[in-house]
Amino acid sequence: MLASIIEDVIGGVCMYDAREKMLKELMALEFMEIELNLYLNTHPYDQQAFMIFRNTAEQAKMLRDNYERMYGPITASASNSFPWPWIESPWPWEA
Amino acid sequence: MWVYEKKLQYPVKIKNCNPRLAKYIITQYGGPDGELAASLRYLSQRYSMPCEVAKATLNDIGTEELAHLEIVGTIVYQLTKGVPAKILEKEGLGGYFADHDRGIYPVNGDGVPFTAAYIGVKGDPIADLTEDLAAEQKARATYEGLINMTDDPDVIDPLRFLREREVVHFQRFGEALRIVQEKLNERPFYVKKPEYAEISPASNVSPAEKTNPYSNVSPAQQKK
Amino acid sequence: MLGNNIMPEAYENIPKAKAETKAGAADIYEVSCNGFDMCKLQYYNPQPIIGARLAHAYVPFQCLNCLYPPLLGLKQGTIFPELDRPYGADPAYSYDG
Repeated sequence: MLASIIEDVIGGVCMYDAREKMLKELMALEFMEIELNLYLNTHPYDQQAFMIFRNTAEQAKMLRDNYERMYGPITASASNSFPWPWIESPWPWEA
Repeated sequence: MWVYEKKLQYPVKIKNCNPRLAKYIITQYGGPDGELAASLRYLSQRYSMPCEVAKATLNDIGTEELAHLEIVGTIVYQLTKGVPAKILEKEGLGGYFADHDRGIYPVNGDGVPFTAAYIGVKGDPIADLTEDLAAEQKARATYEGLINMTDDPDVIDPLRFLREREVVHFQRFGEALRIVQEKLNERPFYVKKPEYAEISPASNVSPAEKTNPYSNVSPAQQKK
Repeated sequence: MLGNNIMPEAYENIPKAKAETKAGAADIYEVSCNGFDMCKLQYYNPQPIIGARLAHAYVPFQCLNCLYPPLLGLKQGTIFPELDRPYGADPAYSYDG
């Protein structure tokens, strides 16, 4: 626990919660996806970037499925329990 | 169409309220160089772009600006959350509070509401992309000004992130402009094809009347 | 060559992209790049602009080098070291870090 706190302090934002730690990793992977998306839009023939993008996209998908299984849906279509979990807090601006 | 993900692009956790700073930061929500202006501008310009690279770039950066809009809204929300009305009034948010309470309304730093006059959609790809380059620089400069105005690391962190995104977007728009220029320069005579040279079937004309006025073939022969 | 890049004459000497993120979520903290300082130098020395014309604006193309690991990239605001220009890092220029 202490190691992960120190790691997150070094990472720049202090988050002690396990949920928030996983969410931050998911943010990082999806951010990398978006960055490579924008890069590939203007370099559509760059194969190396495309391989890295596919790799990142798969990792992000795995992590997203993991997060959604544990903490609830990230997109409304991933809602997988009853009662309707999409409305649950916390919403992104509240945390 | 758009799909919403229930997370911010960058985490925002502000511990100390600061309504005076919120009054300034809201300019990046509804101000002339803010994220709302940016996303509307890019998402409106993408329809008339000539090549796929430009359409994709405008589309994706416009979408990302909507995510940044959410981040700025979150910063303002967390900066004013739980602050009593009297203190909001003392810090200069009295007029805003009277109209919007603690809601987030798109205004600039002086309370001037958002207007479409902040954005330009010329329909000319080089004019549009050059405007986007200028818009990214203006947004970056605004973020630098906002970073200069505060010492709170919880606020500086997302502002710093957003500023860096503007730098990267500038690079992307620059590359898109290169590609569009390259494509348009293949045509030796004009940047934009004049209206008279574009022959396309009118969609609101009945099939019986669909003739091409600029064709060499007589209308009688066209109506087949 | 043409199949590889959109502007072939601008990519005569492409530096190889060294960083690859390995599979597995635990590996997102690691990167296989030797160091980002060489990659950052591309900011000062990008691909030359060939065939420039008057009355046109040009931004040099970016070449893929190393990438930051995802968490560092999120913190910095970009995964490309050459585009990582933090505010205030270069005191000679107040508008460009």
